[in-house]
Amino acid sequence: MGRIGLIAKREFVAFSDGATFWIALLFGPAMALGPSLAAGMLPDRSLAFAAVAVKMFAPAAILRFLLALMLWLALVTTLGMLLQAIVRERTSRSLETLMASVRPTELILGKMIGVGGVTAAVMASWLLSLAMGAGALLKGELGPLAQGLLTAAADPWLMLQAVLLFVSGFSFYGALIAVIGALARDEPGAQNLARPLFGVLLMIFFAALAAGCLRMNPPAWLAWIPPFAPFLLLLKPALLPAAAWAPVLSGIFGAAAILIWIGGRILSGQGFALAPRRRTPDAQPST
Amino acid sequence: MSGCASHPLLKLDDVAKRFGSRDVLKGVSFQVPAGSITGFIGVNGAGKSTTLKCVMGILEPDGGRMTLFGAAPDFKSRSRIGFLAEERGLSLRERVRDVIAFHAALKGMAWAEALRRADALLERIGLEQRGKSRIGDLSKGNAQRIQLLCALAHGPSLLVLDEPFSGLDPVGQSEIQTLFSEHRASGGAILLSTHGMATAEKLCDRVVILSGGRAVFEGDVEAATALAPHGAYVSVDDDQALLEIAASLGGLATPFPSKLGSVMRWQVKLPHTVPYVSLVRALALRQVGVHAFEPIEASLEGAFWSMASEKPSTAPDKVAA
Repeated sequence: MGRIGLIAKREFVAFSDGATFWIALLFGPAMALGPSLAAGMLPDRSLAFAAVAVKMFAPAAILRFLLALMLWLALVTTLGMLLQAIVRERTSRSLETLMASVRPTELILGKMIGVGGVTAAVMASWLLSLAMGAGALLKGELGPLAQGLLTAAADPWLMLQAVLLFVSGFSFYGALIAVIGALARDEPGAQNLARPLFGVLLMIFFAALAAGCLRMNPPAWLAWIPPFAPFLLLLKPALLPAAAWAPVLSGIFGAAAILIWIGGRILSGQGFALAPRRRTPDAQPST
Repeated sequence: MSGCASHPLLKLDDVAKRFGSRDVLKGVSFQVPAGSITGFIGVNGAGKSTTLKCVMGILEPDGGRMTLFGAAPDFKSRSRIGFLAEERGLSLRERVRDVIAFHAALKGMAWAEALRRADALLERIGLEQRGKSRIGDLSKGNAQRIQLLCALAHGPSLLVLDEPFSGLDPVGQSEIQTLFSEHRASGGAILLSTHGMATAEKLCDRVVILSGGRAVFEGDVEAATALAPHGAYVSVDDDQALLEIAASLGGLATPFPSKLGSVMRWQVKLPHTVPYVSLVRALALRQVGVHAFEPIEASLEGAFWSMASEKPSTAPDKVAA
């Protein structure tokens, strides 16, 4: 296992070694069990709402909307963990020791993969639960909706798009949060610095909600901008021709790579730091 | 463990580092031979930690040349160094055995081998029962010992340690000193920065004294001690006679700021070849009344204060020994 793998494993263990992880992991199955039990006793109003939803939106669009919601939820939870993971090395005073063994970019990448792995495990559990929930509803009055969702989920092209957009979205926002974590000196400072990013994410979420529910068509050029691209392309894949997907995804991964490099420079104290550097004893005048 | 006896494992030539407009290192030169323990001593702000960070590649020097294992340092050659940073700590939730193995594996050791090595090291310092404990459950001293084991775990050829004894009780210090001696005996080398002169005198073969961003001394501990001032603090009833006697012995008497009551207190520095007993004998021969006589023994600490007390701007050229 290489250095990046070792750091990823360490982060995975750190974040999966607690009750919060298991609660998050079992949240999905619990949610799936709910509809299964309640399938026979849903109020008429819910059934009517589901019937309208099926008439208004294609099942694939509903699935895409659910996936966009999951991406947003995954980012909001994962970015917090990643921020904590980056700042922890500074607060536990182990950053210098690690810097002597790994390159700063390897450290950031390892942390992103480890924390991403935790989220992937939770997301996989949720997706599986969603499929189980839909399967349980097949024979009830929500059968057509469940059938439509399962058929849409069986489309390999849609799922490939979803995976690519989840990974690219996490890479971009993860790298951005790594830069913020590298700039911060402690956890409260990191949270203050990260607040605008979470504000932007919330704004994007509401924009996506509007675009999905109100059938709005945002301008295609927005899909070329890394912060918007994962959400927009997940909801409206037709915004760009198929040939444009490769350059867009390359742009997102390229932006993430640049951010990781900048984060590494900041983490190693080589430059770009916005916050004043804490003076080490050796940087103080002789007494 | 490898080390070429004919070449130093680490060599610094005129290494400089600047923070903003301030030169922290103004051309540091020294070497760490194989099979040696080199003490790196200096006051706070002298540039010790900055030098060690440059050695480890954490900071990029602004000038000078460095040689590691006979070649320009790179990431691969630096993986043969065990490093204990000045600012150190471990994540409190991690488990002792895993954290040692993790640091060994980061330096390229296979995970299974790293775990075996962690077990062996824990047994070596009597902490084999704590392998599964979390770092947060250890005492501060034990956590400090674990950090040292992290630096040793991958079997490095060179150890670069910044204040390795801080936070350790005498028993812990003694254990770690034994580990260091074993490392030296197996051909490895150690560069350690310390404020503890007694430790440096006892443990190190060589010392590098850093002052004002320059290495002002490099050589054997004995050679450094020989450069320490020796003589005595003296209070007499005939100051003029004392001045003459000091001069006749080739020494120098200078008034010391504090007085003994109303009597002047003198610091008499003697040449290294003249024992302070000669001063006592000369005073007795001249029948000078002595109120107080306190010998100044030559020690590494004395040498350190004499060489490191120079202001950075007037730091002398390095004393070769």
